[in-house]
This record gives sequence, structure tokens and C-alpha cells, in this order.
Amino acid sequence: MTIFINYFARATRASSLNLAVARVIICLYGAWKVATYPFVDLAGWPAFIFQAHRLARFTPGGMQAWWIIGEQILIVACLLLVAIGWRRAWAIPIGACLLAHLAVLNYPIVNEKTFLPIVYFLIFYGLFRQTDSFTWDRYRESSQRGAAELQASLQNPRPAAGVELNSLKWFLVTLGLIYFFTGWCKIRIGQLDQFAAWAVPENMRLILEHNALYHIHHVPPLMEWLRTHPWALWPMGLGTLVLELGFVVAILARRRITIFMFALAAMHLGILLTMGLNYLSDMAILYLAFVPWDSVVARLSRGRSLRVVYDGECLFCMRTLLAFKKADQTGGLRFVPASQLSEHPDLPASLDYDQAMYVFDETGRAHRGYHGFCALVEYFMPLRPAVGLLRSRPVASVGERIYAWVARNRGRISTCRLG
Amino acid sequence: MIWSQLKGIVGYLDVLLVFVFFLFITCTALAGRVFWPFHPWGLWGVIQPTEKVYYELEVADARGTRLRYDQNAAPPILPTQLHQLGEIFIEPKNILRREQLARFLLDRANAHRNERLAGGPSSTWVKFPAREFGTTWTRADLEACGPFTQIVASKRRAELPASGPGGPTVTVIAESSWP
Repeated sequence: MTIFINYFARATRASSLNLAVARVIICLYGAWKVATYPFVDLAGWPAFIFQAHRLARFTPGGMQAWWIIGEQILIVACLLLVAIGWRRAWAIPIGACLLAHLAVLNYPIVNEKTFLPIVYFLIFYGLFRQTDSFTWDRYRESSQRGAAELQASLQNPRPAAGVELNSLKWFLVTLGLIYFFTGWCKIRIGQLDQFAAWAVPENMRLILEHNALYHIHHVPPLMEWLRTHPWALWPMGLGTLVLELGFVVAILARRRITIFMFALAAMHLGILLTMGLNYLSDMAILYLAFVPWDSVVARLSRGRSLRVVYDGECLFCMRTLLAFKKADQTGGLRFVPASQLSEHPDLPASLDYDQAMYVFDETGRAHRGYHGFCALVEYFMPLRPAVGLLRSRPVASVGERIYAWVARNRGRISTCRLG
Repeated sequence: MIWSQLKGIVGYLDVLLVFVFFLFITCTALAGRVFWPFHPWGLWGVIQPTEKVYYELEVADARGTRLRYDQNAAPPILPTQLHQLGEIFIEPKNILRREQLARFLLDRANAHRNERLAGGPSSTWVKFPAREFGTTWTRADLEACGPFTQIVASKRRAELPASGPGGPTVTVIAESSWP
């Protein structure tokens, strides 16, 4: 099984689920990182430090705490909007520009670069955002579609052409290049006959000593061990060069990248343990963007099938069910309009289909209304932990009431094109 | 017809923007200069010398007891950049700037000291992990030291071992304090 996808080799997937999951993961990670980063403390630093920096043009007129907090809140809001896929047309450019701006304010003090991959993701996601169909924007756009069109979408098999996830393709190439340039600056320091001058144990040892003295002010236990076992520095040095330079080559040569991703994570773990420098927590989250989430969902829900009986006149119901249809990777979900029940003689005809949606599982058990919704969520195994919460008494009690209200008013909701 | 042509142009625009992005990220890296939001990404890209001259920042109380400046006192700075600030004290190009920075660092150090002795800092949020894990003041460190009254900067030379079990040997070349 492929654990990480080389989107440069093949960017087309059956659905845009992977892009949607990557969007949610990176935006929530970005929101967490930005919200808890001490940007506001920059306001107290003497202004000359910023003014003397070559990037001073980004800090006109000094920095007020209220301005920084305002930017921080706006960035988090934009990232959360992008995470749910709402108003992306302006949330992406505003979020990306403000994040790049706050990151450059921070740069003269701390030389921090780890906000940039989030900006790069937003750039590529923004350029190719139309390919993502798991968004609130797309849900709103579906209000323009008529009942017949929605019904056809629910009952038609998935289009064979698939979706080209170019944003993930170019984001992967960008990460590959970042590693490559990091490796490139290491090999260009040596002459041609000293290709691996950087990776010799003596230089590796000096890097560790320099880091312990100047960067972290202590000697980690693994570094202490390396002082007496210098042979272990050879594979560390050469491995670093091979990984940093080879990752983008593997991507562009359309090879498998799973081994590289695990090896790079191991490299970051090694750096953390020997040097106390933490790039692992950022990079490990970014790697999750390349996990084949669609295959994970398909594998976990394989062998399961549900039939959903719904009101074929209710636009709101169909638009909501369409999201489940798009996320279904195995085709195990089948949608039956209540008006076509006669074509399914194995389904009971005497239920109140005009009052609520019904979901029938493999055993023929019927789940009505809100509980049908829970059964649909449960069908997607990665969401199963949420089902326990949805079925807990207080949540279910509120959920049943909301469902009943929506079901009673669905005609009005559809007419008003709610959402 | 017009719509399909427009879609074609937008498609070309995407390609152009992707090309420009990669052009900038590559040129920035090759030139070795920051062109925000593009960065050269060169990390540890030099053969390390066995001798290093660097700057150290410390805080001292009225009795002269010293502690290395804790980066947590003046966020978001990290240990690496604290050393670079030391240069401003040893080789000041502008006395006013040195005093301004020293006052700021001293205020922050005392505020952080008080916060730590009071049991803080407390945070309601789980912070995203920092990039560098430097050492930090312990309660015992702070109890052994009174309120900070001085910033002490020193220029040091370190002899770094390229092999063998020992660590670096450090000698102080110059020292300066404020006030």
C-alpha cells in the first residue's frame, strides 16, 4: 500500500477527498501555530532592530500590539474559513498575505521560516481551489442546481475522469525543492573532489558542538553518545545529503516517495534528539497532506453498504446527501428517492418516508431521521469516533429535535435555498 | 464561446503563476538571499571551523551572580538570535541603541523572573512546539539570584573538538555590562 502519494507522478484521483483532508489539516495546524505564537511580544522590542533589518520595508511606521493582534486574529479566522471551505475566494489571499506579513515582522527577531510552507500551500490551494468539492462554497453553489440534476448526481456512478489535484502536486514539488536547496548549500561548499566534505564525521561533530554551544546551550544524551562513537556520524551525514538532494529527484522522476517521507521524518527526529532543533512537528503535519486518505476511507468502509431513502423533492436533503456521496470511495452508498421505492421491493413500504430519511444497513435494519444521519457518518470509518458523541443522549436529544425541525420545514428551507 | 476562451486564459494564468512561483523560489535559493516570502533555505551549509568567536548575554544581580539570559524572557527570540544581540553590546555602533536594548532585556528578564517565582507562566492554550529547545531558568537558579540589575555581554572564543570525548574550551575575550 502506498502511504504517501507522489502527486507529480499521478495527480488524478477518483475524488478530491485527499485535497479536502489536506486543506483541513494544514489550515487547522496553521491556525494553531499562529494563534499560540507570541507575535504580540514583537511590539515591545526596540524598533531599531526591525528598522536596521534588510526586510524593514515590511514594517512601516513601527508595530503596535493592537495591529499585530488584529492581524493574528484575521489570519486565524481566514485559516478556519478555508478549513471549512467558506468564502475561499477572499479568505485565501487575505490569509496568505497577512501570514506572510506577520512572518516577516517576526523574521528580524527570530529568523523563523516555518510559516512559509503554510503560505505556499495557500497559494497553490487558492490557484486550484475549484477542484475541491468538499467545501461549504461548493455546497452553496449546489443551491443553483435543480431537483432533477441533484437526483441524477446522487444516483449516477462517479465520473470516470476523476479529479486532478494540482495543488497537492505543486505543493509536493515545493517541499521537495526546499529540501533540495537545503542539501544544495551543503554540497556546493566543497570542491568537486570533496563532494561529501560536508558529511565527514569531523564536520558532523563540529556541527553538533557548534549547535550545543551556540543554539541550545546543552548537550543532548544522544550527542554525548556520538562523541564517543564517531563512526555513527558517517551514515548521519551522508544520509542527510542523500535525503535532502534525492527527495525532489524521486518526485520529479515519478518514483515512490513513501520511503523518502519516512526517512525524512527519521532525519528530523535525529536532528531533534542530537541537536534539540525541532522541525519534526511542522514537517510531520505537512507530510499528512500526501497520505491517500481516499484509500484509507475505501479500505475501512470496504464491504459495507447502505441504502438511503430520501425525499426526492427536497433540495436541501439532496444537497446534504451529495456530500456523503462525494466522500464515498467504494460506491457502497446507494440513494433511493422515496418516489421510486416501488423499484426496491425488498425495502419496507409502510414506513413514514414523507416524514424522515431512512437508512438501511446490510442487515436490513432501518435507521430513521437523525439516527440515519448517524449511520451515514458511521459508514465512514475514520469518522466513527464522532458517532459515539452523536449518539450520546444529550447530543442525540438535541440532534433529534433539530432533525425534526428541519424535516418539518424542509420545503421552506429548500425554497429559501438555505446555506 | 467567450466563456470557454476566458476559461482558457485563466488556465494559462494558473500555469504562469506556478512558473513564476518556482522561478522565484529557485532564484532566491541560488542567490542565497531572502526575497520574501521566498527563502534560500540554507541550513548548516558551511564546513564548521574548529574555532568560533561568539557573543554571550547574561543577567546579573546586585551581588554579581550571573545567569545566561533565558530566551523565554523575551519571546519570540530563540537562543541563536540572543547571541547575535550580544554583539550590539560589545561592539556598539550606537550607544543609544545599546541602552534601549539593555533596558528592554533587563525589564523582560525581571518580569519573567517574577512570573517564574510566582509559579507561572500559565497558559490557557497548548502552544505549538518551538523550533529550538534551549535551556531555561529553573526555580533553583532564580532563588539563588536576586532581582537582575545588569545585562552582561561577553565576546568569547571557543575551541571546538572535531573528535574525542571532550567538549569545547571557552575563553572570554572581552566583556561589557549595562548599566
